[in-house]
Formats: sequence, structure tokens, C-alpha cells
Amino acid sequence: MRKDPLLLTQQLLAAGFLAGLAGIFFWVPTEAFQGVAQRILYVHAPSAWVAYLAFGVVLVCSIAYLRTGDMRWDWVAHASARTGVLFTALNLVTGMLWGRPIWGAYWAWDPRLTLTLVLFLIYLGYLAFRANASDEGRGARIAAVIGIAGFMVVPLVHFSVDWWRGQHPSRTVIRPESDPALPAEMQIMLVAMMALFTLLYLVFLALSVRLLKLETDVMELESLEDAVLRPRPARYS
Amino acid sequence: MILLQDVSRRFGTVWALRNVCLAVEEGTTVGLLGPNGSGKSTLLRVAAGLLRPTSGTVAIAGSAPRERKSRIGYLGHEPFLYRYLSAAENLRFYADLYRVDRTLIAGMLDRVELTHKGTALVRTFSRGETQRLGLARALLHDPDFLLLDEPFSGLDEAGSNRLPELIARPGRTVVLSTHDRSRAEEVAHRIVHLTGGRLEPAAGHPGPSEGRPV
Amino acid sequence: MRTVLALATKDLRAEARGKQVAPVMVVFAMCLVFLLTFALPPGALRAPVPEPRAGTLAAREIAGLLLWTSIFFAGVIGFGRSATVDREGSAADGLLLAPVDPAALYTGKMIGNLAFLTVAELLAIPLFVLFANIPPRSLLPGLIPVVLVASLGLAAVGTLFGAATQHAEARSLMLPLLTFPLALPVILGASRLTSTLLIKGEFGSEGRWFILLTVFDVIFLTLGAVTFEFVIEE
Repeated sequence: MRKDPLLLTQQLLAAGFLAGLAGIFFWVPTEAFQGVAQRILYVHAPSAWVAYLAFGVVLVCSIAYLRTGDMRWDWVAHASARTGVLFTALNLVTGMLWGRPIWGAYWAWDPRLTLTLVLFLIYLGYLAFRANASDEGRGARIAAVIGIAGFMVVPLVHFSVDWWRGQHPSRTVIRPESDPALPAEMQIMLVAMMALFTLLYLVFLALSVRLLKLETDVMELESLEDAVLRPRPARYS
Repeated sequence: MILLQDVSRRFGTVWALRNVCLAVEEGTTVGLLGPNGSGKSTLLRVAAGLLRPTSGTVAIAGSAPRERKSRIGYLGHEPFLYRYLSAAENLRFYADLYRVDRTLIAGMLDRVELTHKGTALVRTFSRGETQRLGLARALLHDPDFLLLDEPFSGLDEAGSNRLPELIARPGRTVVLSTHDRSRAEEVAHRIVHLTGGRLEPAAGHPGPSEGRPV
Repeated sequence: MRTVLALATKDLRAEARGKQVAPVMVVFAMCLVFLLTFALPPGALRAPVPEPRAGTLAAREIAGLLLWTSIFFAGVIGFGRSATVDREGSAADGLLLAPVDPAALYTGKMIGNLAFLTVAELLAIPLFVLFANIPPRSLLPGLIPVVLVASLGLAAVGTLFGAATQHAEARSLMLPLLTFPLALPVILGASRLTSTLLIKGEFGSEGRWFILLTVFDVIFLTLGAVTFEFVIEE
């Protein structure tokens, strides 16, 4: 039996993440102000990047689906939304865990984290709609419209959460990721984790697309059964 | 001509139409017979452009139904009327959408014998009156292609008897579905049977009986 | 243009007879306004500008969000009902069959929805002013542009997704679920502008929210007009 290249990628990825974890805990220097808590950056920032990437892919594939009507675009958009929601959740959780020691609260209304929460809600709505759409074709088209609207609203949500809190002095003692000159090890680590997360996203995307394709295949097979085996009703007249 | 080529439509795992080929010549009327659930409504909805076929193509006068909207009249199980508008207001609304002269409305109401109900709200209408108004809506823009799904349902004896002359017009191509064979034979030049989503030619019926275009 | 007018008139006339949308919105908005103004300390908004008394500034900061939360949820209820009116008798299919540009269908429906929302606001806002003891003249004139630009945004989103959720299971749940995060910039913007009026009596630098709200309106009106055909088809 031929080995599935996707499986091989997953094994490599697992090894990569073990090495990454080792790097985060043993190789990268500890940040001077925040101490060990800052190491969560190497999970937090890449998950944000992947979430934005995923929702960007939803946007592009949704437009392509509406233009061509090709179901494969819809599978990729759907799969990317699922993956994006997962990474948004990871970004939110790590953000809150980081906020507790640094800002003194799990939720400190950091504009960027708030934006992530809104995105999480939008694409959760997208997935909820897909689960509830009664008609495949229309469901996919409407989901595409949600996917497009969701991404277009991002800059507006960004400004609104930023301005809303803008008049309050920031509670932040130290803003994360604002240090202009990160030591080289930190930069390398961050880039490496970004790459690993991107690869992880692609693997999730491929698996999820495969699953959606299988679901469609199963449905078509079942309908084949209907087409072939359903007894013909008695001739009417 | 109304031309369905190898049209199939799937709902989930169920095929409502399977490889249907049907050609309806200009100016002829085809009766679509078949039991409940045989795909009659799906066929008409696909032909009208309300449903996309899963595979196959539909052509009305050589183009997709969506490009022939102003020449297609369709009446389904639902009348497509607003319950809180009066009969005349409903027709006026559709006249505006189809860019038809509003002065035609009075005549149309007269033809379906609803002149006395012109200002009554549709929600107060009986089943038969709603059906007649729905028919008036479908006929208002004088369509060249008329698709009627069970047009006799809800009509009384007199109404059913009047239906053929109401829909007839030289050059109009009509497809109507019914489960009443005698009614179908009365209006249709040709009758086709739909069973389990498949079209089969009606044996022994006069006229060109093949359901497939050459 | 004639089509858009015919569509909007149809909605308004059916509403005048059937009263299926606006009364529900109005009652819902009034209930919410009544309930949420319990959060404000009595008398905190009585003076035209905040007094040094503790809490009056905070009350004004909150007041805008209370008002617009009420309006948003009343709007969502109404947009859902308004889309249902087209589903009865499958009239939406009749619209789909007619030789009409989907953008016109969207615009006509949006105008109807905007009218219903405005009616709800015309009753909810004075009620809010009454319950919160706000001197009417200090708030109402300045609030007019806010109401205009925010209502347009809410109607733009609500019309698109009201139609979109009609064929989903649990549609009454799906509509608020989808519209809430998407309309967040409108809710936040209108709330901040309202609160600023209550605090300073003028918009000052917060006037920048008008730009954001206008951009939102333009984006969603365009998106609605362009994508409405995909939403209503089949």
C-alpha cells in the first residue's frame, strides 16, 4: 500500500512541534520584563496569523465559488472556516492566559484580542449556518456571502474596538510584541513557529477538504442507490 | 420551444428527476401525468428556472429560463400572492415588475371572474379564488411559455371547464401537470408520463408520443 | 427605479393592512428600552451636561449602548418578520421569476425595512428620553444624523441576512447570530456618538465615527445589491 503523503506530513509536523516546544522552553532567552509568561507568544502570534490567513482563504474561495459555481471552491472555503475558528479559539485562550499575569485580568479588552473574539463569533455563525442550511446549493451560496461579509467587516471592527477603548488609558503595563529589537533567537523562534503553524493549517485544511469531499461522495453513492434500487411505482393512469 | 436535455435533479440523496428529455414544440400543449412524488413539480420548477438542475440543460426559446423571464408564466402549488394585499393590488404589483400596462388588470380580473373581489384582501379568498387569481398573475404579462403545476386543483367544475380557454392563445407553448387523465386529454396535444422521476412515452395516445427529442 | 418603488410600496401597503412587522418591533423596542433604563441611576441624565455627582458620567457612558442594544434587537426581530412575509404564499419565488434585477429587489426590501425600523425608533427614542430623564432638546436634534446613518447600516445588513436565513433551520436564531457580530461597528458607533452627545453636548473628535458608519453603510449596501441574487436563488 502506498503511503499517504498527508500522513507523512503529519508525522513530520509532530516532530517539528516537539522540536518547537523544546526550542520555546529551553533555547529562547527569557524576556526581561514579562519573564517566562512571554514564551506563550510563540503559540499566540502564529495562531493569530493562521486565523487571519484562514479567513482570507474563506474570502477568496467564497468569491471564486460564487463566480464559478464549482463545489471544490466551496469545500476549501468551508474547510478553511472550520480551521480558522479552531485557531481563533487557540489565539483567544492563549491571549487570555497571557493577559492574566501581564495585565492582571484574563480579559483586559485588548483591541486585538477583542477583534479576534468578534471574528470568532462571525465565523462561528458561518459554521452554524452551514450546519442549519436545508438546501446544499443555496446553503453554500449564502455561506459564501457570509464569508465575504465577514472579512469585509474586519477593518471596521478593528477601528471600532480600537476607538471605543481609545479614550481610556491603556491598562497595559507592557504591551506584548511591541519591543522593536527582539533578540535574534526570539525572531528565529517566532518565524519557525509561524512556519510550523502554517503547515499545520494546510494539513488541517487538506484533511477537512478530504472529509467534505467524502461526505459529498457518500451522499452521491446513496443517491445512486436511490436511482438504481428504488422500485418503480406502479404505472399511473 | 421548451427543451429539456438530460435533466436530472437531486435533493440530498433522492433523485427527483432522472435524465429527463422533453421537447415541447412552439404553440403546443403538453400534459404531464404522474402520481404524487413522481417529479412533476420539480420538472416544472426546473423548466421555469426556479430550480437549477443538478445536471442537464433547460432551454426556453433557445436560452436559459433566467434569460426568458418576461416570456415565462408559471403557477405552482403556491399562488405567489401577498395575503395582505387586495386582488387588484397584487396584480398591479406584478404588472409593475413585468412592466405591463396597469389597464390590463381589470380585464384580467374579469377573465378569471374576480371583478367583484378586486378590492378584497387575498387572505379572505377561498382556495378556488386564490387559484384563479394566481392564474391571473401568471397570465398577466401574456407569456409565450406557460408552465402550470396542477392548475385544476381547488377549482370547481365550472372553473375547471373554463381553464382551457383561459390559457389557450395561438402560439403559446404550455406544459401543465395533473393527475386527472381526462382533463389532460381535454387540453393537451400530447401527454407524457412521469414515473419515479423518469419520463416515459404514453403508449397508445394519438400524436407524437416519444418523450425524447431526436 | 419604478420597480424599486413598486417593491417598497408593496411592503409598506401590506404592512399597513397586515401590521405584521412594525408593531412587533415597536413593542419589543419599548420593552427593551424600559427594561434597560433600569440600569441608569434615576436623575443621572437630568442635567444637560454631567454633574460632578458620582456616577452621572458613567451613566451617560452606558446610556448610548443601552439605547442601541434595544434598537438593534428590535430591528433583528422586525427584519426576520419582514422576510417571512415574502415566504408566505412563496411570494419570494414570484419575485425570483419576475424579470427584475436582484439589486432592485434588495433595494426595495431594504427601503421597506428602513421604514419599519424608523417607525420603531420614532417611538423607542422618545420613550428612552422619557425614562432616562434626558432633557429632550439636549439630545434629540444631535441624534438625528446618528439615527439616519446607523439605521441605514442596520437595514442593509438585516435585509441581506433576513432573506439569507429564511431557508435555514432555526432561522429565528440564525438571524441574530449572524447579524450581531457583523453589525457590531454600527452598534458601537451609534452608541458612542449618543453617549458623547450626552456627555459633551457635541460630537467633537468622536465625529470620526460618522466616517466609519458611512463606510459600513456603503460596503453593506453594495454587498447586498451584488450578492442578493445568490441569497434568494432557488
